[in-house]
Amino acid sequence: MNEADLRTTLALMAHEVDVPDDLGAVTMTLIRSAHRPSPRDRRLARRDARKLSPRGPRRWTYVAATGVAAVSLLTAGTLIAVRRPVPPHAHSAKIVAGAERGGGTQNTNDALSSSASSGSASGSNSISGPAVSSPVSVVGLNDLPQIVHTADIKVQVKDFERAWGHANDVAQNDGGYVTSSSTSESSDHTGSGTLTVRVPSGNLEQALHDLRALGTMTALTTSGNDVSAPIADLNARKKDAEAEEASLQNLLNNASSVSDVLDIKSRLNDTRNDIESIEGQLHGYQNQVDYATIHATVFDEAATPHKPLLGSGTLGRGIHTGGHLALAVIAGASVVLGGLLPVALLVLLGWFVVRKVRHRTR
Amino acid sequence: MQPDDQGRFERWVTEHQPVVFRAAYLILRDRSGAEDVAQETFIRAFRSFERTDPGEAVRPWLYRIAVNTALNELRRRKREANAYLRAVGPDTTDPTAASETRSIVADAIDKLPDNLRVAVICRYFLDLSEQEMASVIGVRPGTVKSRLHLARKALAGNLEAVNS
Repeated sequence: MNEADLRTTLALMAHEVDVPDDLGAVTMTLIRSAHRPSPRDRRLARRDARKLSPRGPRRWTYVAATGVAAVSLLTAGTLIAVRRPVPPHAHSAKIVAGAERGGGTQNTNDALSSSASSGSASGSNSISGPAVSSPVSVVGLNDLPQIVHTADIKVQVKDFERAWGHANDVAQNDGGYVTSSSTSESSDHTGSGTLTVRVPSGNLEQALHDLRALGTMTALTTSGNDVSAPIADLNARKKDAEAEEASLQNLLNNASSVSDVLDIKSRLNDTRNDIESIEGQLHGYQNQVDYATIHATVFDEAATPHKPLLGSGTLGRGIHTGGHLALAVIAGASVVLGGLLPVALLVLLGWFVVRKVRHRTR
Repeated sequence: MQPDDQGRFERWVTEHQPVVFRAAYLILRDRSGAEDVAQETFIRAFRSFERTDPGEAVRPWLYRIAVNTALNELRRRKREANAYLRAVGPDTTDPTAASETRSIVADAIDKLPDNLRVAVICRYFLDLSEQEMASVIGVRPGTVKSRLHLARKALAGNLEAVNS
């Protein structure tokens, strides 16, 4: 076979089919649709488009809008982070008033507090809330709220020695007792001391009044912890245990065999232990309800019990405030970023899906 | 891409795509497959178009892409055919029945092994030199010579078998 025959045959074979008329056009269409411009080309195209429509927003407007949005979000997050809870003076007063009236239907929180600080005027105003005569002395006999009162008071005095002596007398004068006390003297011979006093809840107001009279009150915090629910629960458990004990006692009296006696006695012992444990807890609660706890700090006028590290001058306060603000901003940024994270993930996922779909379409 | 470049590429398509299509048809013996190969060849060429030198010989470069694309398609089809045969059993129809009216030379070419058939197509249809064939097929010039020799020998053998 010569080469000419081969060429002829191959040409004939190749011409068994015609080249589609639109093959080139279809190919170019495919190429144009498949061709993605490079990032630089897209950037240049956007620039050209902006030039063609000068009335459209400029690039800096997008940047500015993004900046404003970021700052707004940051500010909102900061405000959320530094927002302080509403002082629950009113709630505390409600409970106390309800307790005085003998009503048990008021809304109560597990921990309620009222506070006053830095200023004798404001401190003396807020003291009237929780300082009431508590009617709670018998646990479980009525449905009154069972409140455990605590107070923290700081008093600045001129003569520490004399004031300290009077402070220790306050407990005895108001029917209470001192659980702990400590004093210290600084290098400049100024004294300060802390005192923990238990007084009957009904005498809390009087005790605080007596302590305040020692000098100038600089801080006062009072709180009431409602323990009605655990006390009611313990009372119910005690009642059940006592009923079981009576039942077991009855069974013991009618027991006919030694093994039954031993078994019932064992269970009686367990029940008795349960009852005693419950009574112990009830007694603890009752003591806490009956006696309010006061943590008192008495210090000389010249002494500074909690001297700020950076000083109390303008610069020190400024640095202190600045530090707090910086932390607040960081906290706010964390809030904003944390909130935006799911959105960012969704956007990323959407972008990924769109990219995949486009890729497959091509 | 600049408008000049786009015009140049479109001229390539107009000038070379029919030959590429026919060569692909000779390799695959299938019209739709040849269309796909012809399109794919130029899509691939476009991706590298900006890196090509305008003065460089474009014909062997395009043919190299086309032959490689067609051979890949041929291999893919053979894999699928083998998988099909394994699944349903061998084909019992007579492969020569449909070619009674065709040239015995064409049948002899079709019966060549793929590598020899591609060598014949490159040499006698695309009119490539042995050096260009070596570049297109991706083998050494000596191998090209050897394959052409074997192809001619096999064709002669096939034709003798038909005549006898």
